Amino acid sequence: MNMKNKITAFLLAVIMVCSVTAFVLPAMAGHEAEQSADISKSVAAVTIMDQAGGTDVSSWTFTGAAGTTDADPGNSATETQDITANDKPVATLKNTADLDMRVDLTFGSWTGGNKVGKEYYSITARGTSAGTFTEATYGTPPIDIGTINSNTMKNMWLKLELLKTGGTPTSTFTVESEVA
Amino acid sequence: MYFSLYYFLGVKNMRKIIIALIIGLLCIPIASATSVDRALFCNIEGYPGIQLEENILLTSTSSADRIGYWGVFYKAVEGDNEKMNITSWIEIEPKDYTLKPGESKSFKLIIRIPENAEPGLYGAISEDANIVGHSGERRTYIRFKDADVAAAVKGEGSVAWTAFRIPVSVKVLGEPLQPKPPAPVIKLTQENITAIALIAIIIIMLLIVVMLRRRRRK
Repeated sequence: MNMKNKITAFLLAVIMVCSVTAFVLPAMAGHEAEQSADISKSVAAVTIMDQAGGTDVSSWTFTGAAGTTDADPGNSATETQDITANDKPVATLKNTADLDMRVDLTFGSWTGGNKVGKEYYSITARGTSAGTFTEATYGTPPIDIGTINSNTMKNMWLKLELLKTGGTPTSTFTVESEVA
Repeated sequence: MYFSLYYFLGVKNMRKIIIALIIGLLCIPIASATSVDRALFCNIEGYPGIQLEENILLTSTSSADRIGYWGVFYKAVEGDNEKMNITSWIEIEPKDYTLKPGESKSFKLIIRIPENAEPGLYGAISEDANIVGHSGERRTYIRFKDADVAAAVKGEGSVAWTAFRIPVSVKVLGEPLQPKPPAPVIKLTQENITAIALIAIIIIMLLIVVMLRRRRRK
């Protein structure tokens, strides 16, 4: 190595050391306690969708004669539930997030309560029919239906006892989710 | 099959078909929901008597207008102490909202820590509540809930609402945080960094001069 190269190497080494020192020392000295919050990435709520999971479902309606149980409600996407067929529920619950979600359901009481009776629900995996229904409790506490894995859907099937005809009872239904 | 179609239709027509297919795919409705930019507000630190503020952004990816509101929620679990329910500390502004398709709106989460709050963790049983898979350790939440405006106003049948809850926990600190004093050498260096840099440059220049002189003598 000739003199020129030695000088160049030496200069480069000195400049490197100076640069690193100037950068690191203030940063080291600046390690002070500060208020902080944990930040997660953006996530979407679990959504109520049609049978294929492509369109929003905003409501559903039960119709039938007094004294019967309506098992084929129609949703706002003009689809009808068929409890004997695979993937023909009144709605699907879709998790579009990259995270698994804990999900629960809240059945609101029906107005005109003397016209309707018990309501039943069944949550099943995709590719299945209704399976066994469970009686829903109205109001709180919500009904825990477990976890819906990231980017998957579940079928939601509903049935309602119709006690009297006439009138248009209404209710609300809430699907609530949180990061598992 | 692709190649036979390609030759049958010709290059130009095939391109048109591909472009139309791409446009068509873009027009297919996508699963929609209201999304939030933060899913967890855990281990927020603060002192008794102070007010903490955090921003939250909601975005609608729905194809229709949404109407909704914010609220607080406490998940009661048997055996919990009074530190778990901090819903009375929390406020969200504004509380009510409407979102048009694709619209985003910003909200403020305000947490007022009472002056008599003892140091410790509030709103969750563990600091791990902010970790995915630890939902059982969360107690206090904020939540937004919304529905299709037309369906909510019409109110026919069973109106479907979607809600999302976000855990909130606060670490109440005991005494004000003092900045950690840096080590004496680091402090001295930090305070005199400009002078040190200048001295280093001068030394380098002197070394260069000395080396050049030696070289000439040779």
